[in-house]
Amino acid sequence: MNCQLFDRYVFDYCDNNLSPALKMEMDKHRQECSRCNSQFMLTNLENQVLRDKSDLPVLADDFTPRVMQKIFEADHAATLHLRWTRKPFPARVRKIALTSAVAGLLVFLAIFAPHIIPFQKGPQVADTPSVGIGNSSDSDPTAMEMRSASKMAKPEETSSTINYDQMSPRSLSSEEANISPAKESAPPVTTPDNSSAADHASAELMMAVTAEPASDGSVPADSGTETADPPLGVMYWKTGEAQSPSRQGGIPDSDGKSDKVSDLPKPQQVPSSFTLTNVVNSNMDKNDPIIEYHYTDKDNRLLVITLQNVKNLDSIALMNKESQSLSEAPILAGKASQPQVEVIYNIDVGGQAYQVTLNGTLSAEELGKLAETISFSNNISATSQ
Amino acid sequence: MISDEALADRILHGDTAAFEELVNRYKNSVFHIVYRMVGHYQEAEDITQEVFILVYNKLYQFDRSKKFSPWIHRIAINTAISNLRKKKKVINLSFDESFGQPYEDYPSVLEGDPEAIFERKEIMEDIRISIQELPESYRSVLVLRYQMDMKNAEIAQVLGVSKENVEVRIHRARKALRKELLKRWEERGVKRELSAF
Repeated sequence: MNCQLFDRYVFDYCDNNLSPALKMEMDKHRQECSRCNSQFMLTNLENQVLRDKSDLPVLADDFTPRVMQKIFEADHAATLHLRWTRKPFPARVRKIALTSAVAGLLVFLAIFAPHIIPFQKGPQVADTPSVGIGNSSDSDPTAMEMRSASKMAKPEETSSTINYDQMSPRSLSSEEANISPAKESAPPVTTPDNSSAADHASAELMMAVTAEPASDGSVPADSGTETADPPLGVMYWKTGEAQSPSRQGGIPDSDGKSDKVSDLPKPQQVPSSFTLTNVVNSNMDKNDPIIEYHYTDKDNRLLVITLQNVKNLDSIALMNKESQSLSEAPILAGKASQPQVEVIYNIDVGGQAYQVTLNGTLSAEELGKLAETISFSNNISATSQ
Repeated sequence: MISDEALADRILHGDTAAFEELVNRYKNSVFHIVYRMVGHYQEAEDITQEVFILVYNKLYQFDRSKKFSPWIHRIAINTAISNLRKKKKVINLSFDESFGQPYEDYPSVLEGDPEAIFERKEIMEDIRISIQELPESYRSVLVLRYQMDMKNAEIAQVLGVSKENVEVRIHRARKALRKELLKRWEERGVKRELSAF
């Protein structure tokens, strides 16, 4: 045993935690070394102080009741806190939360389902400059109705192979108006990837409406030149086709007969692959019928030929223009979810102007070819050939 | 006698009388630990109250598969240390009050030579002061070991460390105490004749 070892074991030695053999060695060394003996004494004094409990005060007798009182108070406070938190949110907070929720919902809808938002205007519609005669198409109910009638599809549609340069409204002339629709070149295909198509359509319709008083068959001097060069994706009247009733000798008097369903021309020379499945008057007013001929082919592809008296279009447009009550947004919204390509052109049958719309589940090219093929006649029932 | 763990279970089911029983069982030991840690009666009593309120509120966290006493003593140690750290700059500990009576009250061991008695009293006073100068971690382990008479295994449960770690901590605490004591003597220029003990 040496002093170093003694220092190492001195605490256990004082606590009597050493083995008997080691304890004997420690005892022996302590008797021989005064320094280590002093260490032992000092350690014992430390132990005395560390273990001393004589000075330990005693808790007051009322300690437990006071603790229980504190616990009760804390419980009561917690209950009050719970009650407070159960109160409904203040009106201001609720208002903010509700506004935030609505704004978030609108943003979500604007991103993922823009067609659902009723007041949203498509950027193309808003940005399209006014074309042709009349007011801006955005605010013009005539144009709105035209969009409705022509079933403008949603802006995503972009497929079209038609050369629009041949269909500029500028190329229209009074001579072209007399060309038979059955022998015309392929009608334009509407590619409703842009709302300006509707604007052009409305512009053309406005031309027809404005030209109506000129029942002498003359074309207004500015009717073909007021529109600017059309952008791509715009719906046009077919080149060489009768552009308006005025160009075809004016709209016949509204005697009622010419507006009946039975008086409407029927489509002919529809390819034999298509079978007529249904004939529907989509207008509630029997005097202003809008007849839809539904055809399907063996692949269940749908072809819809819609025929409408241009005079009726005009009257509807004028009526809407007077009431100024028609909102365009629901129309656009409703169509946006049904992407389709349409071919719209006018025909002249028996001195009466009609608007023909071809749509369905066919491609733009097919519709264009069908527009070339299909003719209309007043006397022959619509049959598929 | 109902076990502490069963009482805890009852408390969790809304039995406040069970909690009162638990307070009566542990109030002295908790107060003892806290008092030795903070060295002030009123402060110790307030902290002891705080400990029991904490125990009441956090009882759902108690693992009933383990013993209750180490858990509550651990809360006592931690709460005392937390309060010491918060009020370190405010409270001047009364060393005489916290660890042992003033040396005048020490009886038997100090009988004999008046000069030697006086020196021993001085040394014991220095030891008490040195204990209070130790870091809280060392002081807490010394309190549990020498004041609460806990074994190393029990201390390990309270502090959440291994038994070996407790042994190491105790040894280091004793070394630190001795070092602090010698430092005090050195600062005062006192040359103790250790053989005088």
